Amino acid sequence: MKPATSGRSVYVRLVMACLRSQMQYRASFLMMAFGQFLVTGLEFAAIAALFYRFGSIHGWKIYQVAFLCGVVGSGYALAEGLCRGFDQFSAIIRRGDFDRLLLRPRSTVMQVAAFEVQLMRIGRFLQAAFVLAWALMHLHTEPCTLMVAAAMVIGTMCTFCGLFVLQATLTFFTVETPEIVNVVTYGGVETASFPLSIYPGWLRFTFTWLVPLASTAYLPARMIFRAGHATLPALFAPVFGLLFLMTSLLIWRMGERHYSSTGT
Amino acid sequence: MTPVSAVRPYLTLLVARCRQETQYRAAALFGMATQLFWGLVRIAIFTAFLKAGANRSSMSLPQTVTYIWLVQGMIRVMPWSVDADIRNLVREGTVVYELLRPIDLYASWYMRAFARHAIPTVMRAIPLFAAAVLLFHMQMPRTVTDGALFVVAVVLALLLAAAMSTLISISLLFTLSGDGIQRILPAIANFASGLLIPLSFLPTTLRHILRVLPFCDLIDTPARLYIGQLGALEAVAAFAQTVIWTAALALLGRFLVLRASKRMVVHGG
Repeated sequence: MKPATSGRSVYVRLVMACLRSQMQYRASFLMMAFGQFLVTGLEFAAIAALFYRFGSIHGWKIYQVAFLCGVVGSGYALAEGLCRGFDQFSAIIRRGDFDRLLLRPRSTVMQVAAFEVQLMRIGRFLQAAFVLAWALMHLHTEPCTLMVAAAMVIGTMCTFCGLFVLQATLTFFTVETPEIVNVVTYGGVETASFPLSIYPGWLRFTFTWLVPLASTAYLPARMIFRAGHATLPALFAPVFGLLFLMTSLLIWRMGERHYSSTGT
Repeated sequence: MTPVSAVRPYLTLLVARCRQETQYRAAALFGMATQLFWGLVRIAIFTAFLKAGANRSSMSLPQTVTYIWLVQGMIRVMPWSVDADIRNLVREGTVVYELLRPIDLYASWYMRAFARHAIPTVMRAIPLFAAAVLLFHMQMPRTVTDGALFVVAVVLALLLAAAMSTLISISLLFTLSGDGIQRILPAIANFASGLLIPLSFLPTTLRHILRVLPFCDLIDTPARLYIGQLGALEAVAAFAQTVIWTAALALLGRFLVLRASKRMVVHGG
């Protein structure tokens, strides 16, 4: 057998092995994927019920907010599926497994990312994708709008991946991940699913300048709805998500140098 | 055996579990910070909706804000997660030791579940409500009666939640992993309890259906009593419904334990 050389092919193999192992428990996988679909589906049902009663929020109609929910939800589901390893990083640190990763001649980022790829996140992704498709059908959609929507999903995914990486970097110093970190991940999903203009200043500041979810979701959406069609700035705003991810990977490298084993 | 000595082992168990739960004070503090953040986000969302159509609201803005804080404080009432200790017992097969003990399995698991919901709820709710009343526009109950009815409703909600939680634990005896019911029940409970949206905001038919199901008594009923949406007579009816559901779920749980202990296959040695 030819040894796998590039980091990418190792990654693909690790991911495939992970997926194969999850498909061994098919009934369990289906149940969990359906559970995910149901959780976020009912969350959206609650939002729809609010629109049914109140009509609009800050001038935004249900399809416009559904567009935001779809972008943020699917971006988050992709990030959670791909970067779950970073989310569970405190367990890797506690068991001393990170020492083993350091010994291998591949980047730690790739290894942690491939540590666990959760296929059941497809339930959440499908739910968000349905909402996004439903919104796009009712909004005035051109091919350019679809391109912007794709860029927004990818930018949002990058932002959440960056958050997971930062959360994991924190465990180099703290070992346990404090519950409060969920505020920016889960909290980010909830906050960014609505137009940012409804929030008090400190929240707007957090999700614009510290975590660039505004530029991957709210701002491009507002540009499209104001202009009535896709615009060039709307297409490029989500790039800030990518920049955020690259910054957090740099911080990860710095944290890694700080690492000392738990010794188990 | 006198009645007192028959109940004693379960009370001892309850007290021990409660002591164990009070150890997690730092977690409760961090949890409170998280709940405060969520509360503020949700208040911003609901305020914006209410401003768009205040005349269509069945609750005033201060009532809605108070309702949201009540939800944040009572979040640990929700029967979300499988008791990790019990899951390990079932996976490793050591659950047979539980059956060998000269106490009732259902009652001892119920006591565990009650402590697991009651203590974190009390530890989180009291400081959270204090902060929310002082800083974030949560109202106090209008009358002493409303406040007293609220406390009764929370106690009943905890008894009901413990019955639900015990049912989830018992389902492990049948499915081992508990993946299915563990994921689907909480999803429904979130929506049907008022956690995601006060039930008064839902369309009439749906609201009527959800108010017959047991989930509404976990959060929506106590919250409506607190904000003074229910009269004394309605309160009594709601309490009766909670008690009936709790008894029904407990009976179902006992029946399932009986079935499970007859057909139990123990894995591992």
